[in-house]
Amino acid sequence: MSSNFFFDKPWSDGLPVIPPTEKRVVRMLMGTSRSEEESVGAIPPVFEATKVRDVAVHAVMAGCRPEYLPVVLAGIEAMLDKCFGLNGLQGSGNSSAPLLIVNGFYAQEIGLHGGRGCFGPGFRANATIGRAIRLMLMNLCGGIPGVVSMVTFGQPSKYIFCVAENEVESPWEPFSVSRGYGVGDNVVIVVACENPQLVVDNYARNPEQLFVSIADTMSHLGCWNQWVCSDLVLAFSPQQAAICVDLIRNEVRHRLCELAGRRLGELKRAGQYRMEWMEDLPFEVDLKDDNFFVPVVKDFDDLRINVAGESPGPHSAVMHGWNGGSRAVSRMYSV
Amino acid sequence: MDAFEFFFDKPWSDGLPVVPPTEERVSRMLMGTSRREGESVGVIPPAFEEARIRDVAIHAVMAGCRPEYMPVVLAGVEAILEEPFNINGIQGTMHSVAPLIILNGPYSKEIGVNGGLGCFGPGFRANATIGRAIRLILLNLGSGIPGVTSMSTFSQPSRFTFCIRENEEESPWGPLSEFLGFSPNENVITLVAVENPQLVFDDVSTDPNRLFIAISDSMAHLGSWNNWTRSDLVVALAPQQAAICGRAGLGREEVHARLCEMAGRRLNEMSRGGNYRPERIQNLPFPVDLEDDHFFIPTIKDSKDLKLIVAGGVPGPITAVMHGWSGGSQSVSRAFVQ
Repeated sequence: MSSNFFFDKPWSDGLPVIPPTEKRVVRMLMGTSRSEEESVGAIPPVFEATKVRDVAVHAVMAGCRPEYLPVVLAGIEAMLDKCFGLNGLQGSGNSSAPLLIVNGFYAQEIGLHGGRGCFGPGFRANATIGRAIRLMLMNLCGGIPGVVSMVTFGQPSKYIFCVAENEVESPWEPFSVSRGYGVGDNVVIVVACENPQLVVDNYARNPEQLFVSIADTMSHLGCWNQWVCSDLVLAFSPQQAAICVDLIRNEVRHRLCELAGRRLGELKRAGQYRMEWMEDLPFEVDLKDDNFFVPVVKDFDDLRINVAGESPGPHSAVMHGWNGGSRAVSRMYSV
Repeated sequence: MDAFEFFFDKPWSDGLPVVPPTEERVSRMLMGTSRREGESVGVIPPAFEEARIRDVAIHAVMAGCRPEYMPVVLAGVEAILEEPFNINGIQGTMHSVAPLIILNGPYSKEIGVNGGLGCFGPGFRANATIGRAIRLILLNLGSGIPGVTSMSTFSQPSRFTFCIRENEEESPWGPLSEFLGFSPNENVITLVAVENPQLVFDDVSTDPNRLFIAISDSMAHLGSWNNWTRSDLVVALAPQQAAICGRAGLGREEVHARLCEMAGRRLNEMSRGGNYRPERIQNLPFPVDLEDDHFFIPTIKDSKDLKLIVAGGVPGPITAVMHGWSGGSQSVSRAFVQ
């Protein structure tokens, strides 16, 4: 009966939740040293005031262990940073969802998975932390399809979208360190993006070969990145990252920023093309030159490369960004 | 011990809490079907545990289904086990594909499966729990567990749940099931092994030929398996985009044919790197002139491989493309009784 009660309200993503009894909420709150009354902020667009206790309630409902609570708190707080544009994202017709990438020792300690199958089912920390965030976006702020969310399709990663970086198998420093944090710092990064889309390549033996199909997939004409400044996440499997072992992370980013893009003439043929968008780009485009190369990543900072999945696996995953109304946010959190 | 923790610890879960399948709940779930609980539905690869009607009911309870969802879950399990679908390969592959369930007919509408606004995402119990019941069966009876028998590098979020209805009401055309040869009012389930939906945004086009440019371009990117082998591909047009075609007088058959024609790449683009191998191109079901750099290679190798549906809500100038897998999975459609 208890599960049906939550379905009927509805206070659910469509899946069963654990009833947040007082006993369970108290146990969950032991996962943080923060006071249960402390405010976390107001979640748009309904702007319900959210306290640490509310976060704990939803963490229980999602199925979290108490030790996941610091990550859930960090995730929701990062999303409330103005730059992230959560208000727009909640109402958007696009399907983008906040992807949570977690670096640092604490993620490893609580079993947050960055290895084989990390974007899919089978890992409680990934599944329930991601879901706790989604339940808050639905229950505390009305991000419900047809209520305030006008999302045409939705996407499966709107249920859950939370991974650790596979720091152990990465040839590079952790993603967070590349953003200026210290080694071992516990850091969450939230990025609004589409579902992972695979680039399969079991043939390339050097980076230049490998980058051909990755760059091509980054620059298909359906994505928003063609038209505006927007984040783009690229996850290399360890096997593909190992092909690039002689390059530092920034060299890989630079090369992909150079390679991924389309000629202006191709862009003009495509549905979404508008001349004024080309004029608004942060670099000059010669609108008379149909051979002008327009990079898909408009600003070097927008491309975020991390290492995920496990060897063997000749795959990369491309996650395109939203329409430019959101910027990735990272923050350090304490446990 | 907390019953929820018990299922996490076994582990008999996808990482999310399950409803404990008490005898009372399982009996109630079995009322959703007239079939006997001891009847076998088949064995689930690669562990080949037997799935009886009762086992399916247990997993439907765990997933959070209502009893009236049972006929759809059963149809899903039976479709997955049809040989052409090759679920054994899907369970083990390094790729991320997941079985997408597409429903046609009155029953799925009656039980509240959503084909409209937000159908691929959270908020709809029928979609969420039917898709999840199938996944729990693949995990618990088939052992398709990451690192155990599943070698999926990344996996994908749609492996949690991946179940929609076609938006028949807002489609300018007859349902997919009719196109596949079923009668218009039959209840039909279609299973296709595909990647996550990938969006094609276009709020400018008013002419189908322009609309198809970005859609076919997204179908043909070099990362997908569809470029290299025969494989299924799903294109879901939102009603607003389907209406552009409908207003121009294009039927489903014509849009289908046009996308098959337009999506593809020249040989010299394909041979630049990535997954290209001459022998892959030579094995295609049509001849390719390997001397001709400008030879156009369609992404859809056989027009039967494209599944065109209408889904999502209004408004929404969006199309979703879902690429297929390499390993010889062919989509399966079957009628089911409620």
